[in-house]
Amino acid sequence: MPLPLWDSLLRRAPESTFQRALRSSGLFPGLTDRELGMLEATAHVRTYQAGEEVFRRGSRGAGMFLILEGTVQIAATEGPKSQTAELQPGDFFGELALVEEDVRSATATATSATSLALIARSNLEEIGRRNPSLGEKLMRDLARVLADRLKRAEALLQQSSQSIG
Amino acid sequence: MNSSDASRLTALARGGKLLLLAAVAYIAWPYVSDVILLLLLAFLLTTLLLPAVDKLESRLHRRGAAVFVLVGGLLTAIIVFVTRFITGISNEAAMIASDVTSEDVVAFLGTAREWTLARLPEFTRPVAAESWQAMDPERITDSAVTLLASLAKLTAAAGGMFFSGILLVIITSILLYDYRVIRKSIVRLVPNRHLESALRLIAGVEGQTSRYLRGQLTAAATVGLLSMGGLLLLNLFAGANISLVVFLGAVAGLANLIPLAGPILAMAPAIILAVVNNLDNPAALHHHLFGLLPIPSPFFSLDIALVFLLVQQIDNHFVTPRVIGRSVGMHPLAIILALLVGAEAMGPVGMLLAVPVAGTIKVIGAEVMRTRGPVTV
Repeated sequence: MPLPLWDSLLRRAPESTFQRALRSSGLFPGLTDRELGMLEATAHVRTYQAGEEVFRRGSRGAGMFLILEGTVQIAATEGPKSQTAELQPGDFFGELALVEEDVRSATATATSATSLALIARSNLEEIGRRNPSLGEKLMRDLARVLADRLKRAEALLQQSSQSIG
Repeated sequence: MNSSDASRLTALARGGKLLLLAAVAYIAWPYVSDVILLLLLAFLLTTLLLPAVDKLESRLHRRGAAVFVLVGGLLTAIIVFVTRFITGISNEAAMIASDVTSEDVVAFLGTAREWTLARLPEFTRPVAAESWQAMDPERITDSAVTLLASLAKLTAAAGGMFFSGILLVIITSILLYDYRVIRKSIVRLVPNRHLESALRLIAGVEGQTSRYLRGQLTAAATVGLLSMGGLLLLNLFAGANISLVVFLGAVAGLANLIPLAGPILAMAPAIILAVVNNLDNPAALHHHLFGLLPIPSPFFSLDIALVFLLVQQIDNHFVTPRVIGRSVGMHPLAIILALLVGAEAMGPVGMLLAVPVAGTIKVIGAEVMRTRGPVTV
């Protein structure tokens, strides 16, 4: 049965998987539904099979990946003693490529049937041109995330240097 | 079958596919070349106008409105310009028709013949005299009939161009509105392992083409304004009596979009107008360069050529290197080769497209080399 007119007008459209994942990532917290929609329109959603490589360490990145479904393993080095991290839906990786075109510092591999959204650097620049206030908001949030990660890396470095000392 | 046999077979199959693709392209080219050309022009226009539409969208908050305002504004400007140009040309033609009689033309041809023959070396005079025979009034009347027939053909061609122009506006408007959706649909066809390379490649091609076109447009505007200024100075200080200066400047600017050949094409209409406007002025035939130097410049032809040459030098040394800079990053020889291929394939439009297409091939080549090159870990 179709919804009454007022109901369909007043009801918010259900959140998409992309919007849910982005909200739970905490990457861009203050975005409105419209802004989230704009970001979603530029994202490239892809499905990967278990064991399929998303990107390889040393390759040049074009943007950041957001996990919509499935799991991804990040390996900083190759071989059996490689340091790895398992990422879940709502996690993101490769965000440095949003700031500058650099080589990937780790290899990312899907460990189950996975759905990923790639937000490219060029798309972020386009959003900045079309909606400067949104572009500024995104860059500020991105800078906050990168600063957080830098602080965490520094803390880890201090911890490990203390344990060696 | 071992692995080397298998890889050889795969390579063979790949080569076969490529050959088949080339054969299909070769057969289909005559039927699709016009459409491809139209799409290429629409893509170039879209790349050029996209940043302006983005900026307008950020103010109007509606993409459709932004495209409508920009395309509508541009079309209005073009229509006003072309209408005024046609009116100007018609007025000019009417004035010439009323002022210049057939006796004037005969007298002018006679004087011009004497003037030219007197300045030619003795051994070339018989040949030159024969050439001048072709300019007698009766033959000119015959030529006028031929010219009218050509004009009819030209009108038909203009009708075709008008239709193509409308199609170009429609396709460009659609691309401006939905460019990102279309691009995303194309990216969807790329396999996962090449996704990031494809995105970098697209961003590279778009960026380079946009920078190149915007630079060319700035250079064209500068050349147009400088040419206009130069011709006005010739009118003011040498009494060159060149009409439609604004339009001649616009033609010079537009012709500048075709590298190398454009500037030469631009000076022709200015010289023609100078000759036509000064037909009844015997002093113009005996004019000397800038009215000062002892170098003959009949009908200000050399003055005009020098003005355009000077504008070109200013453009080549000061404007183009600054506004276009290294946007294409190609060796001048590579640019000349690209222009020759473009001219051979599609004429003047091919020359216009040659550099962006060569730049695109260069970006693709660089990306392929980077992807295939050794990975530094």
